[in-house]
Amino acid sequence: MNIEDRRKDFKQRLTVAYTNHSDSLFRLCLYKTSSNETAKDILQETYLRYWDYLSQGKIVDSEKAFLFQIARNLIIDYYRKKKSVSLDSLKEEGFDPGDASHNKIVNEAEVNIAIETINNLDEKYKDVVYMRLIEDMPMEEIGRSLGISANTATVRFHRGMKQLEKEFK
Amino acid sequence: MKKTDKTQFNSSVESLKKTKMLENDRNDMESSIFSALDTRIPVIPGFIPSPYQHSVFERTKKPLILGLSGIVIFSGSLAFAANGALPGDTLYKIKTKVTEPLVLLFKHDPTERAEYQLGLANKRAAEIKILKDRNTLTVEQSKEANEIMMNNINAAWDDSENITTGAKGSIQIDIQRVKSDLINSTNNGIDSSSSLKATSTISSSNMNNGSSSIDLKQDLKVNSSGNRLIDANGTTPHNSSASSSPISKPDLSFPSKNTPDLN
Repeated sequence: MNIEDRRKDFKQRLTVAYTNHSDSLFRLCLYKTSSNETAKDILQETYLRYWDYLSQGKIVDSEKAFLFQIARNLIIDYYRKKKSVSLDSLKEEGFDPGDASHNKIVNEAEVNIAIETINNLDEKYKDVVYMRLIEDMPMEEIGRSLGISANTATVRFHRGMKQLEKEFK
Repeated sequence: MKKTDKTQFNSSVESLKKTKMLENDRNDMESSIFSALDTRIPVIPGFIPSPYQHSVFERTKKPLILGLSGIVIFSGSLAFAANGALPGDTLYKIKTKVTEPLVLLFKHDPTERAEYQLGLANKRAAEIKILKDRNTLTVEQSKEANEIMMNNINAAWDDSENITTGAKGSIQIDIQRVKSDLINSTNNGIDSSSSLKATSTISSSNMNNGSSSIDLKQDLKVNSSGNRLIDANGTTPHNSSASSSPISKPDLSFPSKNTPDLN
């Protein structure tokens, strides 16, 4: 397969990946940044990074998990650039990049209820609960995109759900 | 802390699930992504096809490995199955012509080789005995086993000639003893396998002390059924003047009159 053929092949794969996962990724970015424009920027960069990865001839096991991983890293980068201090230290101080309070809030108030409630959970449960509840991702994929095992993801989800129950009236 | 209504939360989750980019945004983004790709023409190592990518080995690697594994497994199973084969069996030839010579290939020490060959001769005798006990021994089977047995003894003798240690004498005495025992057993119907087991194992003391310390008188008592092969000085009546070796090479072929009566 020559370079042109490869490019065509990758473009085709990228088109499929865009059709299948762009909405999920957009929701994730929106949930994390609460900004429509930022979400779109991150989404675009996610696909460009994915293209770069494919171009290197590397193989991706789970496309969705991989794209989520790229998006999450870009979101972290976004907050690092935005804040001059490290995100890790901010997180230690209780800072949450997904907190809607310091961003443009998504217009739909109804949607905000879910985002805010999930954001109230402990840091390690948030993403698992989000990916499972909103994106219906299997535990295997959640584990891959978060860099943890499927078992750990399952445990975190159940604990997160228990915590979520406490949030309800 | 402000509590959330569960029903509201559930309907909010459903709304969030349905949240999508606007169709225009979606199309704009797609075109901007693909136009950006044109400026990101990758000139990276991953694009250079490996010259070995389409080599014959690359294409045939998988079937080759599978085929080799199959051959190894098949031949291993065959060798294992052939191990218990008796004269007349289909696998007997595999056992005597392939498996056993193959084992011998990995033995380089002449002492080890001679001992192994002696062991094989004993095995042949035991096989004949098993068939005799079952009353299924035919002339052909006996002939076949005897021939192989003689070959083993001859080979053991040849290997023993290459031994340079003091064990040479004792091993050669053992070979002669085994040979005479075999002849005796086939002549007189003595249980050969049991006596052979005793003689084939070369005791470490004999190995260490060499031929001079072997109690030859006692050996002669054991083999005193008429075929005296070894005298008290450790020489054979066939070639008592031989000086290069303490024991001369015996006549290892069975006399025709000694062919066992199989019926």
